[in-house]
Amino acid sequence: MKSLYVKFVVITIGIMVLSGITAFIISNSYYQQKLKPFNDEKNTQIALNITSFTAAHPDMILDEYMENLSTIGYQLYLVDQSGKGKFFGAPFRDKTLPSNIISDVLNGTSFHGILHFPQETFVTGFFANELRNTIGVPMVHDGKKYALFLRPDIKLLFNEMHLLLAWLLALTILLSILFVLFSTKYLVKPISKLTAATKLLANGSYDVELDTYRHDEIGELSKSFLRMAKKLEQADDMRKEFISNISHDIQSPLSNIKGYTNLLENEDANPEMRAQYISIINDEISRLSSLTKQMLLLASLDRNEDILKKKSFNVGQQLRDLVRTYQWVLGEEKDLMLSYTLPDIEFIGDPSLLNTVWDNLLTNAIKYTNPGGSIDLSIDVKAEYMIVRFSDTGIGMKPEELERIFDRFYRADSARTRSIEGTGLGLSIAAAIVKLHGGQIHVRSTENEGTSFIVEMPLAKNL
Amino acid sequence: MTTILIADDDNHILQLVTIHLTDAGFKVFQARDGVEGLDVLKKNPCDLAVIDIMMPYLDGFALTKEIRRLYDIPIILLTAKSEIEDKEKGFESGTDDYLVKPFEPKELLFRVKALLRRYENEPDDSAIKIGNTIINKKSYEVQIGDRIVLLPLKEFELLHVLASSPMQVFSRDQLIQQIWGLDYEGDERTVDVHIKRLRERFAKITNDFQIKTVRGVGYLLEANRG
Repeated sequence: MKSLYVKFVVITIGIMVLSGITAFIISNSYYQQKLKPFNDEKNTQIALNITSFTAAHPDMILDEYMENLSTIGYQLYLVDQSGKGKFFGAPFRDKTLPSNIISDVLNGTSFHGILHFPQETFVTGFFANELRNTIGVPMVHDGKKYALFLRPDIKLLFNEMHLLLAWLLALTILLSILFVLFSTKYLVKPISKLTAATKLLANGSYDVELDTYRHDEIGELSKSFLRMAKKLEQADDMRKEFISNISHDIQSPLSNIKGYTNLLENEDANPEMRAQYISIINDEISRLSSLTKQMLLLASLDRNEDILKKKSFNVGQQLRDLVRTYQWVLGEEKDLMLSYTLPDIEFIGDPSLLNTVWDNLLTNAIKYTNPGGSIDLSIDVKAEYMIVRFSDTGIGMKPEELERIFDRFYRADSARTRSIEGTGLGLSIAAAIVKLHGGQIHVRSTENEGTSFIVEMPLAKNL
Repeated sequence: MTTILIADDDNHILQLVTIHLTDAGFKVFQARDGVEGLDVLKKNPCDLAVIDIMMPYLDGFALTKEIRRLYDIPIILLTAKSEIEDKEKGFESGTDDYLVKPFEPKELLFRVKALLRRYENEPDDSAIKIGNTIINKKSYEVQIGDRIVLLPLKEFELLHVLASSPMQVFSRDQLIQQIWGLDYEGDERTVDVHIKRLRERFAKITNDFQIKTVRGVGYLLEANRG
């Protein structure tokens, strides 16, 4: 099974084994480099003490003395002049020793077997129970020459230590493995919980519960997971509301169209009435068409900032051009006065999207201002901001309407909704575009006195 | 007589626009694509061009660029698309104005006239200056300091008539004849409504002039000496 749990356990144990081996190699080389000469010298000193004792006491029985030495923790090998050897104490595992070494020692040269014991990577010479791993010194007793080879009887001296270390090591390994098994379970369990929670989310239930009391990364993950779930729930609610709004806004023109086509079928209708029906149908169709266009725009605005095609352009000129295209509607259809103070101001932004903003704000002002009223446009630059203001002397809004005007599909006072065309998306689009440019849009309104929309845009100089 | 070129591959639009412009007293030349449009212009100098964007051979943008290069006449682009990219492209190619189909024939007329006024080569002596206020008959704009004021057509004309002879009293009848025309059938109250609006509008933004009522006679405009 390739679960995280198994992987974690295997990796942890692997690390333990690897670090054990590495530690052994390092300490072994430390023994070889530093401890071995010291050990050799120490044992050489002991051997010399023995030889000086035997030289000073020619009358004692040598074998007894050797036997005695072996019982206090040494392994000894004594060779006499004729080359006959005798072992005392615990037997050596490997008893080979080149004969030239023995004769050298008999002739008075010390042998440093411990120091010259061959280095092997995985074997500490310290424990090697071999005759070659001894100190050899010439010895004189009772006028006869001997060669004495000796090494400490590690087994006798350190047996309990050995056991203690072995237990320590074994228990350490065993317990580590056990604890790894348990702690991994504890670490991995929240992840399994998260997996279960994602499955819940995928099935559309947003009220997942997770432990968020942990202060580690997994606790963080759980917390942000919960936040995400909450956001998803909100987005889902918005989507549902959006769809129900859209269905309503699509359904009502459609039912109008259907109703009027039915009326057209009626053969009693005179040409005038027919013309009227057809113009109503056309209006409803164009309403549907502009609705879908605006929804598309809004959807693309929601997606990301990449939609902005920024360049430097003259906002004053853009607004003056816009005003000119509405001059006819203003002057001829609605008897509105439009005044403006629009100096040339260079701005870096998406000209076509910003034109949509101004267009939406201006058409709103025109729509909601009664004949004889006036509209004023101005641009000011204050500090690092460009402030574009659209003020009208129109019908205004109630404070509770003001709060919602940037909501999608919201249209102030639904009673008059039918008489004034619009989709209820214009201000949402304007607000989205302004936000993408890092700006803000404010509104001030008094019922029956008028409304001002104020767009504040940072004059981005970092482009 | 003022002549206008109309280039559109849609026959219905071509006829519709021709009828309305002819009714308004213009002489109209028709072209069904961009290349024909250039031919027509070569043979008959026109004062203004109304051009559709979607046309075979040479589209509206290209035709506009060509006309800009060869002639000094105002251009209005017509299009079925209300896409802002088109609008931008239109202004980049050098058009003076832009109208989206379907449009009101009256709106087209309004814009044609406005453009022709702007392009008129008359010296600009039609502007009236009262204090900081400039009333410009050519652009139909009132300028007060930095601020430009666009008035409904009749209100502008009323203001212009009154301002052209300050301190002169105009009777309601006179004003109706000059502004609405002899065949206007509404009553004199219309003048009162427009005067009231003008007063309200300018009271807030300037005190360069005042429109006064002369009881029993009519109205006059008095400039304030500051």
